[in-house]
Parts: sequence; C-alpha cells; structure tokens
Amino acid sequence: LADAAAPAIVGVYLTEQSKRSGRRSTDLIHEALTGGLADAGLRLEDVDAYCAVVAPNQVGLGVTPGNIARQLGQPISATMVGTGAEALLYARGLLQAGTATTIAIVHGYAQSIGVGEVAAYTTPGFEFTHWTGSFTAAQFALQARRYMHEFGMTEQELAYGPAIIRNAGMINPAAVMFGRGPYGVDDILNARMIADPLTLLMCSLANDGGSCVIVTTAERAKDCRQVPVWVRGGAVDHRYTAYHDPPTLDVLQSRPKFVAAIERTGITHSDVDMVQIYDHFAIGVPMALEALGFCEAGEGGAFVVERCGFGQGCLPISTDGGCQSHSHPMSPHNHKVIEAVSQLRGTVADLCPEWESGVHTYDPALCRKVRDPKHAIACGQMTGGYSFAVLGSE
Amino acid sequence: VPETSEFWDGLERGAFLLQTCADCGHVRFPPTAMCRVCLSVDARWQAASGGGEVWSVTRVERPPSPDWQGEVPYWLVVVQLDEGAKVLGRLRGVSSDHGVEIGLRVNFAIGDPGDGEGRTRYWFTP
Repeated sequence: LADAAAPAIVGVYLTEQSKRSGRRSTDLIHEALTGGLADAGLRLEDVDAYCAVVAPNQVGLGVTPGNIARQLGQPISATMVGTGAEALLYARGLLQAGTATTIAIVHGYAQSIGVGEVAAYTTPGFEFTHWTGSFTAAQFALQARRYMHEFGMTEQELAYGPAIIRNAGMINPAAVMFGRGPYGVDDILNARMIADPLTLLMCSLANDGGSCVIVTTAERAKDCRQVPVWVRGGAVDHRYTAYHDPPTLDVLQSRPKFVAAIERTGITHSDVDMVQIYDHFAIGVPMALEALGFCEAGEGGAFVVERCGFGQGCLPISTDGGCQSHSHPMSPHNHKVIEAVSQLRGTVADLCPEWESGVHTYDPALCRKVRDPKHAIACGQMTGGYSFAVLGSE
Repeated sequence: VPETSEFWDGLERGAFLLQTCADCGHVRFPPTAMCRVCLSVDARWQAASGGGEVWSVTRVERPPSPDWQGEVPYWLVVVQLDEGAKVLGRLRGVSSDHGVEIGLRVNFAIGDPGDGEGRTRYWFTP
C-alpha cells in the first residue's frame, strides 16, 4: 500500500489467558499495553489515541480522552469505546484524517467466579430481562432455535463449528483449554445441556486476560520492528441492544453491506484465507459466515460442515480455538485480530516440533497453521450487531 | 426509568401496555422515548390483547446463578404478540419433559411470580 497514511498493525500482544488469574484488570491492561508497544518497537510517547472497553482506572470517567491522558501521562487526541475489528476501522479513519498517528487498542479483564456462578456480565440487570431467568447463553439459544426453525439447520450442523474450533484450541499452547479434546460432533452434542440446543461445549469460556493491538501509519511502520499487517477495510452494522431487546435474526440483514465492504477492499471471498469468527456460541459460526456472504442465507450450517476447517480447499475458522477454547475475557475482539496477525506473520504456536522456526507439519492433529495466507477476516462484535475487518499481508 | 415507569404502573393494574406511535402507528416494546420508525416522541399506551405466538423457545437446564437452582429446567420464550411486538419471558404451565413448538399460541399472565421480590411481573401460559 503506497498511501503514507495507510493503517498498519505493527504490534500485538496477549497476556496469559487463564481462569481465576488472581490478577487485576489494570495489571493485565498495563502488561498488554507495554507488551504491544515492545512488539512494535514503539514507546508510550508515540501513542496519541486509545481504544478500549475497560479504562485503566475507571474512577467514574471511563474511556474518555481526558481520563486516558491522565492515566497514561500522555496527550491523547481521540478515544473510542471498543476493541478489535471495530477499533481498527476507527483507527483507520483517525490515521487517514490525520487526527492521530499511533493508536493503542487495549483490553484487560479479570474477575472471580464462584462455584455454580456465571460471569457477572452475562446476567446484566436489564429491566426486561434479568428477572425472567434469561442470561447470555439462553439469549443465544433462543436465536439458535429460531434460526434452526427458519432454515432447517440440524443440531449436528450446529455442533460442527465448536468441534473444529475446539480441536484447534486443543493444540494451541496459549489456549485456556489447551490439551482438551479432540472432540467429535457427538462429544459436542452429548455435553451437559445449558439452554437447549446449546450444550456446554457450544458456549464461550469466561476467563481472565489482556490483549493489545498497535496501529500506525504506513509511514511510521517503516521504523517499527515487525513487518506490518495492513487493515484493508471492513464494516460495522449494529441493529439492536442485545440482552435488553429480545433476540432476533436481524444481523443476517447486514449481508449486502458486508459483501460490498469486502469488494471495496479489492479482494473476493475466495481470496480470504481464514475467518477469525467471534464464536461466542455455536450459532455465531453459521450466522457470521452468512452475514459475511460466504454462503447463501440459511446455508451456514451446511457450509460449516462441507467447507470449514483445515482440510484441502477448506476455509479455516477461529484457528486459535476461538472464544470457546482459547479465551473469552468479556471482550475478546482483539484476539481475532491478533490470531489473524500471527497467522499472516507466520508465528503460530502449536504442536509442530519446529513451530518456533516457522516450520509446520500441516498434520491436523499437530498443526493449526494456515498455509501461506495473504488475507484474513477478523470479526468484531457479534451480539446486537456484527462487524469485521479485512487484514492483509499486502 | 421515566420511559418505562408507565409500563410497570400499568402492569400493577393488570394491563400489559404497549406504546403505539401517535404519528405512524408503529407498536413497540420494550418502551422507548422515540419511535424507531419515524422518530416521533408522541406515543399512546394501550393494553395488549394478551395473545401471541411463540417465535422461539429454549429449555434452560443450567441456572444462571445458584438462586435459580430450584427453578430448572424452565422454559424461556420470545413471543410475537398479536400487535406485532416481541416479548421475552418465562412460559409456565408446561411440563419440562413436554415439547414446546415454535408457533404455539400463548397468553399473558400477570401477577407475582413468587420469586420473593414482591414485584408484579408477567409470563406466558399455553
């Protein structure tokens, strides 16, 4: 990309992702930000915009320019409440407008969960929801049941995505569920039922972790440590307030906007080498692939069975193990970007004996490396709306 | 919350109130300050007829917190009311080993659900 203001991802960092880390969110944020800057070869003084969901120290002020400037001791031009793909698209606008030159997209979240409890954010106190006994898994179970009713998707098709994704997480040493598997479709279906049709193995983790993505201009990227990964485009389409409003299938209507956005990046769907889906629940997998235009409406379930995975001619999805096996620390959107960047850089940890030298076996029992990738889609939020960014090594 | 207090007051009187836009007639729930179709801030509150059909259904087997342990399994439904708006709620009066089909006709029930909160709430029955 010749444009001097073209957005380049130059730094990524993941803290250890784990259950009950005993750490604080601020500690994870500090490690993630410091690690991301070190990966890029940049300093805090270079950062002039900041995107996050959780501020380093809330003190009632949140992710606002004044609060972030105060926390970091660094002048700040812009902030955005968000991470992952959406933040990348916002960063792209800031860079091309000249409003900012280096943007840190940072997340860190830690919590403690007692025995028999779900994470607090999955049972928010919404006025028309919380007292009914609804919670996040039930909301997506209702979405799944309606989708299956309208399009005839089977429970076996629904279980296929989690099997693919969890088997990738099984061989990712950084995954919270590393070593857990392999899972066949029957294992997914026979796991303990949470809210019909979603079994435990069709649901996200809820764990602790931090992450950071550093974005700067093509001009500045020349001086950074890493070969840049380019943000080529993408789209955001929010439609309703998940958890407050009853669940809908409205996000499938984002398809024309998303297909047009992919076309604008100058590539076609067949050029996409992987999709890092926000696989919060099993139903997110077919619905995201449909909304992105990889298959016709209603054919997501069959598409996952026939076309997704690491096989020859297949489309790899959530290659780090996704939200279900790798990590889900409340807001996992940076993870989708970081996994895409790792694949495009060729730095993928798995069970291949020489992965640290970038040598992979492509044996599905050991290897989760995508072969010679050039383009990736990293999905962002997928609750009351979907978003994604197209990333490329060129 | 000002824009929803009228709804809860209506429920205390035994009526499930929906907002109908005074300008374009769009019927909405949950309550909002503006019509999402025409952005009008003028709305009439009118009682729902009480009927609708199941748009989607799930049987919850793992409770969201230990407080709910005695309730599982229980049915949650999204109901499309005859007026068009969708409402999430419990479906009571169906045994847990019975199937609930999408499209099932259901009716509102309004009262104290017995959850110890002492609030007037709503749920559905076949």
